[in-house]
Amino acid sequence: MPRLCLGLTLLFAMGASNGQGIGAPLRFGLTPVFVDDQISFLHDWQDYLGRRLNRPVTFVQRSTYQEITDMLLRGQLDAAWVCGYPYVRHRDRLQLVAVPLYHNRPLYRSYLIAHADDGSIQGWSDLEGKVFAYSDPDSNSGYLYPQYAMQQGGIDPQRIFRKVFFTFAHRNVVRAVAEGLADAGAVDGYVWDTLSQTHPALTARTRVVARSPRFGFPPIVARPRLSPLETTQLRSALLGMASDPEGQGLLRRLNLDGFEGGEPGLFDSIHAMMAAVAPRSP
Amino acid sequence: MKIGLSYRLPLALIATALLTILVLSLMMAGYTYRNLETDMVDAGRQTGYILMTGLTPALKHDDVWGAYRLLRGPDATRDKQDLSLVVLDRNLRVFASNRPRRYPVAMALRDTDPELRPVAQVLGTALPLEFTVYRDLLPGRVMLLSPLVVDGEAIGGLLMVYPRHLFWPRFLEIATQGAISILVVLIIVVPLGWYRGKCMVRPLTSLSRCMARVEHEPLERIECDLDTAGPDEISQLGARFKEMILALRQKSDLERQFVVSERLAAVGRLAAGVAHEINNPLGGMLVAVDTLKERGTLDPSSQRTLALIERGLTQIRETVAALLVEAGLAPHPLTPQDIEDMRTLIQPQVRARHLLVDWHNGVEAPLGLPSTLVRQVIINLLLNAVSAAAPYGRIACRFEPSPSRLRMEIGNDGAIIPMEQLEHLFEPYYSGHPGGTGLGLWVTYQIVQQLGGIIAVDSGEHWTTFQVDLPIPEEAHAETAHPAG
Repeated sequence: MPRLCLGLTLLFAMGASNGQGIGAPLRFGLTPVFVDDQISFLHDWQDYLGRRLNRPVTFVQRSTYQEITDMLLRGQLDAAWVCGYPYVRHRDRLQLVAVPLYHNRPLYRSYLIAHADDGSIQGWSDLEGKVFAYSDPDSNSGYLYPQYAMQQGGIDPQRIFRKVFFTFAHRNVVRAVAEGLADAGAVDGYVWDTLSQTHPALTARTRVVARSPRFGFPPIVARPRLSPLETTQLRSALLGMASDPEGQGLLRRLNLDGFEGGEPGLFDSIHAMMAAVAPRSP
Repeated sequence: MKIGLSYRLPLALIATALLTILVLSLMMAGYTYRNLETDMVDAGRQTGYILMTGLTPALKHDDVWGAYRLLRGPDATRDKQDLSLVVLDRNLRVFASNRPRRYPVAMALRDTDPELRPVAQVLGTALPLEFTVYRDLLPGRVMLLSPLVVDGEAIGGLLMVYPRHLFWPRFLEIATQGAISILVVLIIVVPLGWYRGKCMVRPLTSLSRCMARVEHEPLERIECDLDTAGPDEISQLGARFKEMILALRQKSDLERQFVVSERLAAVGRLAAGVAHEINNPLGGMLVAVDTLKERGTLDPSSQRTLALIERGLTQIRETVAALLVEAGLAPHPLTPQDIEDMRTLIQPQVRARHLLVDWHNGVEAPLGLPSTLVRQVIINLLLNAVSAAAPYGRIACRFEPSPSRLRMEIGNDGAIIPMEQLEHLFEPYYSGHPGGTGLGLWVTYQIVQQLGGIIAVDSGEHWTTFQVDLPIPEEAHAETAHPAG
């Protein structure tokens, strides 16, 4: 009987190993914190990470940050590139794997943009009666910071606008403003900068009205209970990108300089804004 | 400007074809235009239906971007067609549109595009519950409205504003293809119409040309190639015209013959008068010469002179007698042998000229005609034929009696008798060939005239025929019918 028990335990362990251990695909969630619609790039990066980790990597994309966060928390994803805002909300359960380096710093900003032809908007206080585009309700640069900025400026974001809507991607905020669907919008500064290099015609139709202070760059986080070995392997794979030519090429396409281990304290300012804007019912 | 029928009819045919094609083309174009408009409305209805399926959740969840993305399409293709798509909420405010700068989000429809104000007025405060087409509300534009109805209430709607010229490119494409087809048809039809028209007019043209010649040319020379066989009016016209020409020609021939006969009759009367006046003293003179000779008192010199005078007078009498053709003693009726004798008589000349004689004597019984005169006619004509025939040539003689007439034809293969000779052929001393007395045909003509018959010449390039037609008198006819009496 004890032998049988041992056998069953062994069997269970093997099954677990087959499901989630070394050799099984690493499920990696992506959100539009970066320009996530370049299919060939994603394919190359997925291949690269798979080779580095010596196991297949599966990228998973969903239409909202919320879905990715939920999947991560439920263990349906092993890791994900998420925004700092959901990270700080679930900081106690998620493990910080790495933080991208933009201009050699793990920081980025939120931009307030308006249509290039619309000179009437010079700051957060000029938005009365306008149509405003947020990116995602779980985005720091595309929702939390604008809420905070307006609150600080004594503006009630619930009343000031004629209409607000979410586009669920930073790139779509740029499109909405460029094409006149929205008068203004809040967008990830790193995404806007990247688009201004890859799609200058699109960003040329928008104008950056205001730039926020710098916040911790959207980090790569791991699900609760992802083994330390796997977490470490993933971290070293990401950090190692800057030191091999192929990884450098991929980083260039991401418009990033590399990754660093990062510290949870990097996101304290986001946490502070979250507290200031609260109560927010999810 | 006067244009002949030969141009007017083909042109009329072509014009008719062109007019038909033009009218048909315009009808087809109108039909196509209406069809395209109907197609556009149908396509709009379907587009609206499909779009509304996607737009409904967006409307329900206040997803402006989702609605916009649907309206824009993947690469803003709908924008290029100058087509406006506007999603309205239940308060007739713009929820989203594919042209957000023209139709800003969350703005009342009446405040957006001033041109849409009539639409806002028609809609009032509520959306219709059914798919509606507004054709004439906006100049140059067709508007369709697909409502989103939930529980009998419109919670939103999709307004599609098409410029009417949206289907112009398609229409022009179809029209161009049609025009090319028509052009090809025209390239075939126009020459065909021209050719057909020309064919139809040709008989009329040749008839007209032929008629024009009547005025300027002798009737004999008018030979026109007219189609008189067809059942149509022009062919009948051609046939009538030919008959008319024939009648005119016969009339003209008759007139000419009449003139010739008149002249011959006058000459005959003159000759007879002169002969009579000469004959009376001539008889006396001959008697006197005879008396002198019988007396025998003359010296040889006078006798020679007298003989000379007598020969001269005799020659005068013979000449005059020849001119004065008169029936002599009552002769016997004409027998077949009389005609055969004539053949025998000309044999020496025939042999001398190596001629072939084609002889057909149809007379089998005596005819009631004076043999002496008929024999003279025959021998005259035969001698003429023999001398006119070409060496080693041919002459042909036919004698065909009928109960009331005797028809004779004596032909030869000599040269044609020129027209100017034909005119005077039967006049005395008009000889066609050297060595002739010039009296043969004159005498023949006189005899035929006396017998109440007709003599005619038909001279062609290689054959000349003298035709004599003699009536057999009634009493003689009766006699011959009963030779025993």
